[in-house]
Amino acid sequence: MGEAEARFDLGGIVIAFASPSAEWLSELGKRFRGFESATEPSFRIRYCPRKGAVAPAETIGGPMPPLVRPHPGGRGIEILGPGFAARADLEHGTAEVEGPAAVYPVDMVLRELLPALTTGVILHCALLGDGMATWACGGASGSGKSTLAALLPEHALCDELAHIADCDGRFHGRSLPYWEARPGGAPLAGIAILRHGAEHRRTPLTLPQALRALATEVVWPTFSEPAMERRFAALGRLVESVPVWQLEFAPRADVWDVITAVA
Amino acid sequence: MTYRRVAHVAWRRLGPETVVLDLRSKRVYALNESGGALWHALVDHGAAVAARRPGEEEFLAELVRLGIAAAAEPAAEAGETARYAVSAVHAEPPRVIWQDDIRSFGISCLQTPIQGGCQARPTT
Repeated sequence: MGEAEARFDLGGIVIAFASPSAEWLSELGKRFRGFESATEPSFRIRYCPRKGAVAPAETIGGPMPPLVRPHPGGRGIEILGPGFAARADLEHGTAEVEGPAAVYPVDMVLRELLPALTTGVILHCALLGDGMATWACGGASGSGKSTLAALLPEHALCDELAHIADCDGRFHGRSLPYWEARPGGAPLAGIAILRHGAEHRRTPLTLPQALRALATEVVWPTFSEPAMERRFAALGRLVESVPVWQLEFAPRADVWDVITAVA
Repeated sequence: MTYRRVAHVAWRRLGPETVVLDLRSKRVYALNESGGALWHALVDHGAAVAARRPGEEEFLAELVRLGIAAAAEPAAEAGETARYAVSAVHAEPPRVIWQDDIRSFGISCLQTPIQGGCQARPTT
């Protein structure tokens, strides 16, 4: 049809982005640099920058999550966010987005769609790896994800969101491009719930403690009850399969030895 | 009074606790061991569970208040209520020991770096 297209592998889902604006597509390429894919996509998003539309200034009083609701026409869902509107047809694997000449709407739309498109869970965490295994280090905003990733740049794969999924009977962690990220993944060896501390200390969590800690750090596909139910089941299997511990850490790179210590 | 679980929930037993996710309200609850036993009776026996021990009526009423259980139609339950096994170690009355709103997740994730979000994008 003449429109340029760019494909990216995001949590094992290859998404093709098309736009009448080559400039916008170029900016998207910078945003998702390193996650390019040549594989046939399973989902397509078309982005139409609106002439004259501008990205909104910082929201007053803090960010508001986008509004997600069934599309009035009955097919798929609508995602309405600051300055943009999207319609997604999950059954046919397509979405159309209208917004300003910026890429932030794609980030917000993907945050809503990826949990429904991928298997496993998408976790609010920094993902660290050594080429053979990964460790997901999660927690609420301010718990130290970015600090940890900055302390261990040679091991950090991403510092905000990672995709955790069962592959051949074993959970694997894979980085997502949020916000400082490079592509990578490996079998998941452990999950750490972070907090800042004066010294490093690792405390194993019981199964119920682990699920409680992780339930609020999963990105849930809240617009779909069946998808939420599948993610809940995946989360349960995850905490039963992978050790979870609380990790207090001081801002020193030797925390890596504590993270990777065999339980 | 007899009770049943509602349809829009998912649950999982983890160790001594049972975790219940309300798919509609997006809230998650953890039940203690005896609360979990009663919950699984609701699950296994459908709309035929009645309180039999101290604290159970209050617990079941709490589940109804939270929206994850409902009072059953009395006429449908005539003559038969479920017998569920309650271990002798369930000395503690059933109760909800934790709850949280899963929609509270990751608000920092919504702020992109250009909006002064959770961290500044470093220069390459």
